[in-house]
Amino acid sequence: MSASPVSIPAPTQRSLRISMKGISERIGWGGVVAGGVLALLFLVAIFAPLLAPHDPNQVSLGEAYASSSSQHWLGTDATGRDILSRLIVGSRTALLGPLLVVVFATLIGTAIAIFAAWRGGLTDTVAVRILDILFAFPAILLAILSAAVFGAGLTAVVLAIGIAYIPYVARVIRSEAVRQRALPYITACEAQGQSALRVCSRHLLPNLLPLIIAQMTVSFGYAMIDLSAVSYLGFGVQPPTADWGEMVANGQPGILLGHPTEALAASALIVVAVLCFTVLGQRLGAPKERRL
Amino acid sequence: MTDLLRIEGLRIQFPGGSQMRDVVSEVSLAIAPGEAVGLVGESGSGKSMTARAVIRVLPPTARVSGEITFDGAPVLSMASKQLRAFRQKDVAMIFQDPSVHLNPIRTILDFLAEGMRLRGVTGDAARSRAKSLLSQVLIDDPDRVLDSYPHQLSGGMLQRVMIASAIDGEPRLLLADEPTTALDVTTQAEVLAIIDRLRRERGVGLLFITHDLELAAAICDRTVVMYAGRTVEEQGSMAVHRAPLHPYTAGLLVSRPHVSQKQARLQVLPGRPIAAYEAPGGCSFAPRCAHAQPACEAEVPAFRALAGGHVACRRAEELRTAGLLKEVTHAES
Amino acid sequence: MPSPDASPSVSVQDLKKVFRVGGQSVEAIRGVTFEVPRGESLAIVGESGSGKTTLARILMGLERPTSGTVKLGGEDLPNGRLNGRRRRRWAERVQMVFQDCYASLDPRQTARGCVAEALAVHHKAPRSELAPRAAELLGRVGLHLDALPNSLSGGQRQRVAIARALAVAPDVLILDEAVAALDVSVQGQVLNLLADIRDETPDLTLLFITHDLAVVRQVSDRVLVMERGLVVESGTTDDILDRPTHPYTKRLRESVPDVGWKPTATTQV
Repeated sequence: MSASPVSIPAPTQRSLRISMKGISERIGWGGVVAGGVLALLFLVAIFAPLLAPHDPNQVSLGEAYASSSSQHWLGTDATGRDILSRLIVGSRTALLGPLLVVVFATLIGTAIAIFAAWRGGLTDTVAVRILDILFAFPAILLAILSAAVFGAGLTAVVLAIGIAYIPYVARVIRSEAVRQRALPYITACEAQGQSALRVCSRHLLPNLLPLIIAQMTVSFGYAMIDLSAVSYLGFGVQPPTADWGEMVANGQPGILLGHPTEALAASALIVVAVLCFTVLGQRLGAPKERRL
Repeated sequence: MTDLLRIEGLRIQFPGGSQMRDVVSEVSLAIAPGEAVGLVGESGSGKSMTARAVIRVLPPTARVSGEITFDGAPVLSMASKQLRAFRQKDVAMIFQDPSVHLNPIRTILDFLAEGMRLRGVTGDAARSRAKSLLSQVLIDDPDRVLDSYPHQLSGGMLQRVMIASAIDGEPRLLLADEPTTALDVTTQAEVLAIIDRLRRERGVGLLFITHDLELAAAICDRTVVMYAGRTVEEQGSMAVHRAPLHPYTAGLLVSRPHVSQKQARLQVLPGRPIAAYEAPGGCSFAPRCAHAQPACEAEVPAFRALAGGHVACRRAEELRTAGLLKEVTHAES
Repeated sequence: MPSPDASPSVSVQDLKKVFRVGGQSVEAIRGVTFEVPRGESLAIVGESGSGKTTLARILMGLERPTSGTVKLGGEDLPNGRLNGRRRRRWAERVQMVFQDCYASLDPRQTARGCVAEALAVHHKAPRSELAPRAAELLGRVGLHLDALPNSLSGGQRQRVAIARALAVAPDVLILDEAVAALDVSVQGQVLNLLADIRDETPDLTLLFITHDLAVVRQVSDRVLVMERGLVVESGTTDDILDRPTHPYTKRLRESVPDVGWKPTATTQV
């Protein structure tokens, strides 16, 4: 007998077909708007070099703190760099960094959480202890350490913060996984003769998904802030590369001098991005049908 | 004779979506002093909500109308001070799951003494009072139980403690909401016997809420049957079993398996019980009723007097005469 | 291989189960022996702490027995953790319907998806026939719609659970308080359905785990009464319910509310 894994054609083509109406029914118009804004932000990030009207790094001290004009729509910063261009180009690191952190931490954290919850007993105890030890390392410290060892730059910092985020993700998901594991529907799957892999991937994981998505959105916000902080400290994104978090820090003196545009615009974008992730995450997290 | 408790045209609504939804549509019943009345219904019938309305412990979003009077005093319009006195002195309630009503880090003595403190009974007096209460619910070693924490006692023991606490204030009315549903069968019998004895000895009025017609018959003088938020039948408890007035009651009696004899197939009611807000126009039982006629769906049948009881069915006399609401005693078959 | 009809459908020999709870040993099952012939319906009756649910879990392979043997259709319950193919093979012998109809179905799986999965896991139908076969099985239990569990009533959910179990075509079906959580008027429907299933599949052995003697009368041929991990009495349904001999059985029987029944109380020790 071939040991090919049994699979049900669960979500059929019908539910995979993309239609605007179907999407809006599932996530509501709020979700569509949030998704649209995020899509726009990501598009801007991808095509940033083409969209930026100026070289984001071109210093022009004579034009420092210029107010908005047809030349510089949002004016310039303390060293005369075009704020709009820096925002556009900065979206790349601002969005990509946290995204990588969250995806990395969620993949590994969820795998650990489900494995620990499924096996229980000693495996669970050991997993929880290891997570506790990881908890002891603050994300920023770990990031600085890795920057010191591997050199400053986004890659090392993202990896370090990603590792530091694993316990946050894993702990929350593990406790829900332990709860779900004990529910009769999981026992029923086992009793039906399903393999552990199948029960975990087809039953446990989908039912954890709302929590995973919620956890991802929360982490996204924190990761954005942590990465900005690391950039601010000079270990992450290296000047003169533009980054929203770095711009908030850079723009701080400007607020006192009556030129708040840079810090406010960068903060506003962070807020909008995090808000959209939250709304979309919530909507996607609501139970959806899985028909045959 | 004045009724101890009188419920007239009670309606309870909750916000559901954009409008208010009925949970209880129309409930009317009365309990004389010292009388035991069983309130029987399936899930969604509104029986628990009715009991909660009596001591006004409904969720804050509930909208209640109709009339509830206790000893002539209107309960629904009581001011908070009056209401507190009413809850402390006149009425007590016991619930399905005693463990959630007990603080897990306080002993049974703490729990019982708390109510006594309000009346100024403290210290040794409270302990001896608690001991006497526990012996009244037939607990052999009250001292051990008083010093126990809830998790050290069985469900049956905890329910006895709840009953002891309920009778502490010498109430005139006891509301019991499925007090034995979570208990084992043998424990259920014991707890029921305790409730039964106490209310007879003390002349306490009892509203006993259950989904089980047999239980109601065992300890109640009269039985009131609810369906989809309405009272549909009211009769002496034995009469309900011998000669039910409403097709729903008759259907419930035959659909239940009986311990004394096996049936080839149970004569079941089709469909499932519905909640008040799901009820169609007209008689809410009509969709499941074997005797329904088009006229039944036209208007809600009045709850009217018949054969010493009350019934809300427009065909009740007709069906009774034709013998279609069959007698259900196990001696029959 | 011996003829399957020669051996009893269920055979349990001197089964024991000890749990370790906080350094203490708790004996859940203290030596239970019984056999059930193919096609018979056995009720296992007891109250909380009797060990009846632990027994069901052991039969399902969800719990390891401390000692003793369990055979289904002449095949021994494998030693060690049931995994992969051994788990699936055992599951083809025995299936179960759980008490809590609100938690025993995956909230993200529709009725048809749930039954289809059972068919797929056990290779009972080719891929293209999963959906129609699932619909057919659901029709057999009287359910002619496809929906997620949260839009099904308790009775409908329990029908899905029964269809899911039947999809595997097991030799033994365990019903763990399967009607206890249902409304009175719905309980009867499910009991009738089970009677129909017995008529249609006379080889199916049923084990009813229950505390409800009225249900026992309606569905079982024989009864096993358990108290604190031991079988205290067993016999035909009529013997146990009409002529109980063990004091515990008598007390259980006398505690059942029936017409004209009055509760009696004893002091609690």
